[in-house]
Amino acid sequence: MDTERGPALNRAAVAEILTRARESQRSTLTVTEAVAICRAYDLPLPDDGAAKDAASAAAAAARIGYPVALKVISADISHKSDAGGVKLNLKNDTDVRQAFGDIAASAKAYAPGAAFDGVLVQAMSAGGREVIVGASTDPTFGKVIAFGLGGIHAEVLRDVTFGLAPVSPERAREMFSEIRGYPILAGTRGDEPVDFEALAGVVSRVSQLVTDFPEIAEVDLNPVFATPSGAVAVDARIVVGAVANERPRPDTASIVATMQRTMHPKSVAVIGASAEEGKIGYSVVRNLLDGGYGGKIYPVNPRLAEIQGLPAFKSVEDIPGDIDVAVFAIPAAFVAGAIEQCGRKGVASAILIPSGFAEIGEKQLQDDMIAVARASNVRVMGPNIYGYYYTPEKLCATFCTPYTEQGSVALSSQSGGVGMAIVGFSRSHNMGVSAIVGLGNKSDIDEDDLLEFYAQDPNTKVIAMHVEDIKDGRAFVDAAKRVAKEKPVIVLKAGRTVQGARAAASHTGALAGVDQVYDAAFREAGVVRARTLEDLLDWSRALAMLPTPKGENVLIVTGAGGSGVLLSDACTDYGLKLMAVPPDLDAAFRELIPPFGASGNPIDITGGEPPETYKKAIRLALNDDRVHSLALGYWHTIITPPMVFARLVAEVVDEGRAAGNVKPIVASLVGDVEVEEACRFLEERGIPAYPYAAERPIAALAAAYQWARRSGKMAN
Amino acid sequence: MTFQTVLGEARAEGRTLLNEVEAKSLLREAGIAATAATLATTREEAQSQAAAMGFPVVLKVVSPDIAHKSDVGGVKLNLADREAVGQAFDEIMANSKKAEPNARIKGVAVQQMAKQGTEVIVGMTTDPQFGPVMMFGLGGIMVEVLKDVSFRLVPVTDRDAGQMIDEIKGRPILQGVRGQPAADLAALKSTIVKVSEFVEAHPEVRELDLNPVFAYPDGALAVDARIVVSEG
Repeated sequence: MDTERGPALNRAAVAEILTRARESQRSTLTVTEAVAICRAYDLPLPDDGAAKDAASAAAAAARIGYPVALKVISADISHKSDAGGVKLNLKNDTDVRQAFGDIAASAKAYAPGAAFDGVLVQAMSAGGREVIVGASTDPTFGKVIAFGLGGIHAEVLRDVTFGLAPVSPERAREMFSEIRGYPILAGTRGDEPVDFEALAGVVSRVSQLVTDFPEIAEVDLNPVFATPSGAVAVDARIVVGAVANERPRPDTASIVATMQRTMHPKSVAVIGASAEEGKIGYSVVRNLLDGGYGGKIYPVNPRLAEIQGLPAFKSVEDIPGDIDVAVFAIPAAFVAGAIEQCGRKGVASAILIPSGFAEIGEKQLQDDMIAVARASNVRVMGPNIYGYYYTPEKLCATFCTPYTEQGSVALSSQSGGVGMAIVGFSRSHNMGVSAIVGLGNKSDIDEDDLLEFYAQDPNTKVIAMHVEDIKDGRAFVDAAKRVAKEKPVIVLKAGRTVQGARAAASHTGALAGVDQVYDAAFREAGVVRARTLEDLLDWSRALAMLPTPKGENVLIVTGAGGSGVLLSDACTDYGLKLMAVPPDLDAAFRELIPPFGASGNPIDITGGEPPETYKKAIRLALNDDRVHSLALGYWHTIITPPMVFARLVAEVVDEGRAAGNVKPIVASLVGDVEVEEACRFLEERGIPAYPYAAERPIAALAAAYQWARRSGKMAN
Repeated sequence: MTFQTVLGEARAEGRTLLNEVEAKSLLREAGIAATAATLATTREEAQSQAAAMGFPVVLKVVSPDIAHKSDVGGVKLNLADREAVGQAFDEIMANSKKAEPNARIKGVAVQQMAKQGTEVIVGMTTDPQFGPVMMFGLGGIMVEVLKDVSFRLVPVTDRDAGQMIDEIKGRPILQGVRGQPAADLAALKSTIVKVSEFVEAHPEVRELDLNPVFAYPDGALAVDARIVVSEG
């Protein structure tokens, strides 16, 4: 079998049809045109023939063989069924002639003056399992391929999955298994599985079609009948549209160069610096000073000679020497002018704290400002932001509060409120960060720029992003895909329930709830998706501590039977695999625990045990290569108090680390408030530990697994 | 047939699964709409019962020893006249004896062939902690794979039944989509409530499955019924 070369695709034929449609300014193709395009891309369809009158319809039916279906051919009718333009299961000459007349009449009644170019006579398919294959154009991510079960139930239940084009046959097969109704395709009740190879071919060639011809906005093959020996598209709809303009993107090298200057500035100007407490321009200077920033700080204010002990300048251009970053604290109306000056001064980035732009409807003001910034070769962060932090430089370019606790997590947010939540959470949970960045309106610098910087930033190991919208989905996926191979990227997509009143001309478009497309994009990019702010913060903190798991086997060791049950439930809920403990290891655990304890998984060492039992059991698990991750359950007893437990865990883990046994460990500690101190102690030693909670440690461990699987760090 | 008679007979034979004729007659007696089903022990009985019921009919083997009736060739659908019924009776008896030579065969159930409606499932199961629990869901293979069902503890009120119907994800199907008629929700609620009352009145019933029930624009009809009773 020739698997190297795909079927020959007739691009010229498709181009010709699309040109014709464009010249006659049509967005909907007729059924004959759609069918011709499908044939050109080797998409299997039933035998058919076009007919202009009843007699030729009957002749075509006789040639094709009964039963047949008749479908109206009209450039003005998009939804053929709604217009009474489809007649199915016609069994003889009389029926076909009658159906032709009915369709002609319906077409005229549906829209006066609608074109009627006859009917397409199609062989009735013998049936099969109904699926839908479609393509649509997402405003954020571009060409998106949909796959789902067809039929009335599947459509009501919206059992569909999405992939970003191009979708390879391999990715298509993954998509099949992502839908809930997959068992129907794989065969239930003794049915044979459908021909997945043929179906994957259909999906990948639809993807190829919209990739080759971006002017094709939507394709709907609905239904496609999948059988054990093939797949046939019974109906095809194609809608054409305008091709989106490519967004201008600086190349990676220049992004990194600018971001380097932004994150490691040798000098920072504060435009609109103030000597008056309570003003934003005051707080920014104060925070730069209080944070301990080591570079030069230049207040800019035309009316003052000195601000907070620093000499002030009338304009950014009056400052001696180079300026890397200018933080803006002036009204929106003056921003563009000051950016122009920054351009002449060679400033790399303008940090636009001011509001009053697109977020209040002043889109034009923002567009004009960005045009000035582009012409001035100045990158813009914001507007409408709290500023940003980069702890390796002790840089707190913000009007909020300074935060300088160094660590390896880089966080960003699109909202000031969320930004403050990041600062407060970090401080209260002793989470060190490398960066906290406000992106606000994202008029220029966005997640892709940050990702490019973090990719090569030795101070950043984990990236957490709060996102309300993504400006350029493809650029994001492209950047995230590269970064996530080495560093976990966790994203909280806010606004996931807003369905977005997107006018979609087709089924596939309507099914493509924006959120599912984000799901597909994140999966493709290797991004871990958090559903709540708490998860975003919690997981990023835990992932900074956890080593990458080497395999799927999770073992629970617990002193509290109840915690063991909750930890087990959580493992199932979060898609972690509870290890089947091999007999020899099980026997070894049995040696350690009391006779009424439970081996298996969880290992329940029981509540009354002394520290030594915990120690031996954890050591055994750590030293066994078949155990890939550990979830510890502890409960507060007089025999093993919280801090005794914490110290013994730290001791055993240190021993293991010294011997090269590094594996993810999370802990759930229940008891009186002393367990909080024990948790802090453990976390200082790189073990995510949670008081009074059994689900959060497992959720955090599951996030580490999700990243390991998606990044290819661990075999699936 | 009263419940006690049927129960007594089943227990005497060491059965916990009622046959379809027994199950349907109990349901109909309880006011639950189900296709008529009678037991025929001879070809002639089958033919006259079918004629009395009205064609088309379905014939199914009745045997406590044959669980999967279709697999042994023990089911014949859509029989349009006396001739077809007679022939089907002979074939079912022959097929069943051939497949299960030692099976006790009581005869053949003659049933009305119902016209197709929207398939739903109404069921009851006995939970070890909570006792009898009612279930409602859409039928069909897609929904069975997706397990789109809702539960309530017995007894179920009319309001509970309404909520059970509203809770399933496939709810819009019952409203009528793609030009299909809307289902008679009052009839569905009534079926659920009556089954709840039936199992409450007869605690010996451990499991009950009406699968499928056909929902029509006016009315609902249980087409297949399975009742399991407790051991004596």
